[in-house]
Amino acid sequence: MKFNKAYSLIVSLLFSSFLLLSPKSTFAQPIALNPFAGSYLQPSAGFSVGTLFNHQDFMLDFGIGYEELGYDFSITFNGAFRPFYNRGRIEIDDHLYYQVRHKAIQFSIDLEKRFYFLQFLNYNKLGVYLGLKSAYAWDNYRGFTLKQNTGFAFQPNAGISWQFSKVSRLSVGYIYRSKSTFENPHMANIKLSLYLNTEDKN
Amino acid sequence: MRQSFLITIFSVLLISFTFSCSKKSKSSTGECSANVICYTQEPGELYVKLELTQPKNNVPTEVTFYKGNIDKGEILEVFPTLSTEVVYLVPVGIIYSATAKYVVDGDTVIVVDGDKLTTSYCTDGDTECYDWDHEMVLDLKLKE
Repeated sequence: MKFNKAYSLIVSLLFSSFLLLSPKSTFAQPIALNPFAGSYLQPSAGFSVGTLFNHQDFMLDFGIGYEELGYDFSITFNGAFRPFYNRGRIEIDDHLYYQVRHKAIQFSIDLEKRFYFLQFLNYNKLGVYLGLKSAYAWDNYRGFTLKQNTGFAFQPNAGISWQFSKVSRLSVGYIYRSKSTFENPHMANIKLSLYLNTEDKN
Repeated sequence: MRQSFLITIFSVLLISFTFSCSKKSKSSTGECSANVICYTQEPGELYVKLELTQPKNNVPTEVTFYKGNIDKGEILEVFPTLSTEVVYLVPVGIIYSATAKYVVDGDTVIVVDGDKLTTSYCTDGDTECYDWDHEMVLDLKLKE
């Protein structure tokens, strides 16, 4: 699999953002939290950039939407795409396959609920998240006029969520990308979310 | 104000990333290197190279070359070959596609690839210098 330099750069930026956003005080004395307890309503807008990947596939995922920081959930509109052509085989009859090169585009409404169980003295929080992507995807094959519609699918996901004060959040987890045309549907998901209009940074 | 600006910038980036797939009829390779002879006339024909996997047991690979995509295109040539490379000189600005049929462990695998043949140029100041040896590769090799 060949990665374009520009896209490798975006992935590197994602990782380095994580390092830059994690100050030393992140590792201060933690306080246990009740992960099911809510706070007061703290609506915010936010955007995210992330990747979905496994050993066979790689997609970039961008999102924008509503982030609720008091009750720790989000509803976002996301657009994901594969920035290069991947190769795969489709069985079209018994012992007959097409091997094609294809790109993918996916739009989704993402719901995510976070359960934080640790809070640090600088108001960073560590917890887990549960999410669901309601996604609609298309595959574009080289050599075909046809754009294969892989259709609507629910893509459940879960993982670890680290909120840096009320500025940003890093999520690392697993996503089951069902209706993936060729690839293994089990993918890793790394996402960096930034909040835009938080007035109270604590 | 600042947040609205950020949201707008991000939305524009999202949309442009997503819909940046359409292909132009010519592509730039950047600044020309010093030893390049500058041909300012755009070529009307360029090369399409089909790359194939070496067939096993000397069974020729059946290759079909199309003008257009394979599902709506016009067949230009069908031939068996033992070669791993076939090159065509064809008009630019048109989509070409090809298939190669292999038999692998009793299964038939038809490898498909296609793209629009475009001209390639580098820039020397305001001048566009066209690459008359530019070739488009259609990868018809079997996936390992």
